Amino acid sequence: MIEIIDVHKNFGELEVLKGVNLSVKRGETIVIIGRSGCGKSVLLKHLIGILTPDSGKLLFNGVNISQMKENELVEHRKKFGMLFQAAALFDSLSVKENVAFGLREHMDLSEEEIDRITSKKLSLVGLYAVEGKKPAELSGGMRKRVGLARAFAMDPAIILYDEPTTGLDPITSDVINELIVKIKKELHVTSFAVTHDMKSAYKIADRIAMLYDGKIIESGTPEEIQNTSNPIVRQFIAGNSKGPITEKNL
Amino acid sequence: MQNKNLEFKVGVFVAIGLLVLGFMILKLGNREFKETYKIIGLFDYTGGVVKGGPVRCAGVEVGKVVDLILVTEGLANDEVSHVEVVMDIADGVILRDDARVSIQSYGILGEKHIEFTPAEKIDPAAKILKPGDKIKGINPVVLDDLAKEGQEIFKSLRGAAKAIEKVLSDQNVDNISETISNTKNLTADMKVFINRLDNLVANNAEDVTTLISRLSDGSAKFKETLDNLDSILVSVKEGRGTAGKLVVDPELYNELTALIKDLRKYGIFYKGKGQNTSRSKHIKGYDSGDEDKDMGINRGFIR
Amino acid sequence: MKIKADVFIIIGSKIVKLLKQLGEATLMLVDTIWCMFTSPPRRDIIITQMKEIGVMSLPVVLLTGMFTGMVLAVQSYYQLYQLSMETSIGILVGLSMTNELGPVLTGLMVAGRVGASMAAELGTMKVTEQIDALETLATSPIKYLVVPRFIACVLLVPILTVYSIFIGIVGGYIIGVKLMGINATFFIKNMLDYTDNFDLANGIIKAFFFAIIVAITGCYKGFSASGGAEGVGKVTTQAVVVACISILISDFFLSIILF
Repeated sequence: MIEIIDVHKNFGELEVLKGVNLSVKRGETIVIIGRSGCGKSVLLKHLIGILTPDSGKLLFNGVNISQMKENELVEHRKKFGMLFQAAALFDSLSVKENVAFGLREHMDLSEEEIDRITSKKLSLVGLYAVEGKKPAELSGGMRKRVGLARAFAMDPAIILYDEPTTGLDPITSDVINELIVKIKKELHVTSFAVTHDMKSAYKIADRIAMLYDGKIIESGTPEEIQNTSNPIVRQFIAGNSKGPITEKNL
Repeated sequence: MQNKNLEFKVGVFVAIGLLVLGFMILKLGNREFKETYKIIGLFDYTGGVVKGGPVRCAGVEVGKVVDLILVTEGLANDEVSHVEVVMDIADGVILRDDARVSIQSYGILGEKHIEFTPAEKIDPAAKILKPGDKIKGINPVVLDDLAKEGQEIFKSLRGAAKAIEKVLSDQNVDNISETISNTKNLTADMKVFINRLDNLVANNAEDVTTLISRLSDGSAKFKETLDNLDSILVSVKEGRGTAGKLVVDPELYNELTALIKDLRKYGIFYKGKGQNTSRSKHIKGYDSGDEDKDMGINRGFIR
Repeated sequence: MKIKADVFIIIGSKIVKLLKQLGEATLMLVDTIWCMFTSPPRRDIIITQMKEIGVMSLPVVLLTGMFTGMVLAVQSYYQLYQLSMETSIGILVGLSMTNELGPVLTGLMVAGRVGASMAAELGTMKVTEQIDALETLATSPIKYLVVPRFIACVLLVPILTVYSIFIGIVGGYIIGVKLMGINATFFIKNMLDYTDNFDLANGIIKAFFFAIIVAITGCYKGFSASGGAEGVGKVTTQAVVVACISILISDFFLSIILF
């Protein structure tokens, strides 16, 4: 469904992606792990067309995303939902308006229809009677859940998760992980997550890939990753401060 | 509800803004005269009148300048012959063609406007200006022209002085004084003669011979006087002597005429209002016919 | 030698950066105008911005306009009184408010109030990924965020300017006639004689350009924010400074063009 072929991306002097190759199958949940700032979020933004690669190709159902025209890109993005690191809810809008944002912008629905869909999506993430609240009045976990509801409000084919559990307590993190699994089951979406939270990765992933030094160095099922012989991956999943990753940087 | 309130606020804001704008546009706009008619003023020199400038009649604003057209017709190479100043005059303002149309400055910044000054007495014969009528305007005095005219006056004055000098410095002066002294002698002799005649009458034929000899003596003197007088007349005829010059010399005559002409032109020999027209016509030596308006002390039209 | 070369590199890169920003801002303006006609945003969003930009700016614009007119009258009174020309205060107030002070002060006030809030709001949205979120929701940030602000600015700043001009003249009138005792008829007559619709149009045309400057600077600077709260503060300051300078510089050139 998604094929990433030899993607390079520089930000000024800084080389972030140095030839990423990855393919994602329909209905699969793939989790990209890696250290903070290794370019995981950058990779996500490439998929949705916010960033374009310096070289290489990103194919979605065989179509090159970076060569899409403006209106094609709009259609492309409608098939995606994205949950941001800090939820990125619109401060000026209420919870209901946040969830209904895509519906209002792209679908010609009646007010009752919009009310029905938003409360259905919100109940799916376990939120009730919060429609009128402003994002600032919500806790971090609730914001994440509203963000999640917004991400799949338009019934996308693919949901992108940018560090879904960052900044949450372990219990809330687990709630979010459960939700991601539940959404995958109920809506049959393809999921593409980036995280450095290994617990979350093991829980939600069908497949885990490790991004290191601008490249995918290892990919496999959670079991395969846990038993890998690659010292870099081993250091990362074990969370050791000593190992090949830190040695290289020092 | 909140949304409605919002729209209401924006609506009020915009509505009041537009009202204020409309108010200011109406206030600031050049006060338009609703019904107007057009009159065209002809000027050789407009001195900086601008489109939209005011037109006043006896100091009251009655219209505005709507266009300035450089007229080139009738001249080769599209030379500009004069300017047509198109004016909108408010309906109901009656202007006659004997009004003075001039360009005047007014205000602190001294902008130019067109001023109609009605004639002092209403002349029923003067035509009322109809829409589209043309009226000749009085050109504002151009300083350069003034200086040029002054120069011409001085030139002719100098010519006149030279001619007079020439007349006076001739040997004519001697002739004149001789004539005068001869006349004096004659008069004295005549006096003596008359005295003697008196005596003769009183003494009744006393010494007739003496009388006769004296008489012949006197007649000789008389003849001399007559001869002298004759020679004066001849010299006058020939143009010798001032009087003779005045009669005969065309140069001096012309110089003097020109001088007087110039002096009159600039109003030094001002004869009075009523004679302006005929005089100015005479002086300028052009015949512009009866339409020629009162040009006052200014130069008239070249055309 | 090495230091010299470094100086040139620094200056050169500054100029390149400045030109790049100018280019980006211009492209944003083009995009905005394009988007304004091809896919106009929802009406309620525009109305909200109109309230923010127009209605909420009115008090500060009225206040500055009023006091500027009053100051003009007071200052010019003492100068003109010595020339026995105090009745021409009306001319001075009328001409300067319509041509110059009305639009410029409104522009500066709007730059300070609206430009700053635009930069701060959009900057915050940028650093909290709300702009990215908009894009993932297949909504153009230009369409959703810039165009409504742009339309509201371009429509309402000229109207704010009209308010400012009017209240400034009223302020001048109050000082000149009520306080300094100038004959009211002369004040008004002189003002009307020398101030006409051309001057008013001048002011409104200027206001129109200032509106574009404020809207685009505010939005562009907001979009270029990075690095959290500090970055937002930085772009907000930059937006106000750049907008104010641009207003004053463009005012100079507009004055030349329009006269």
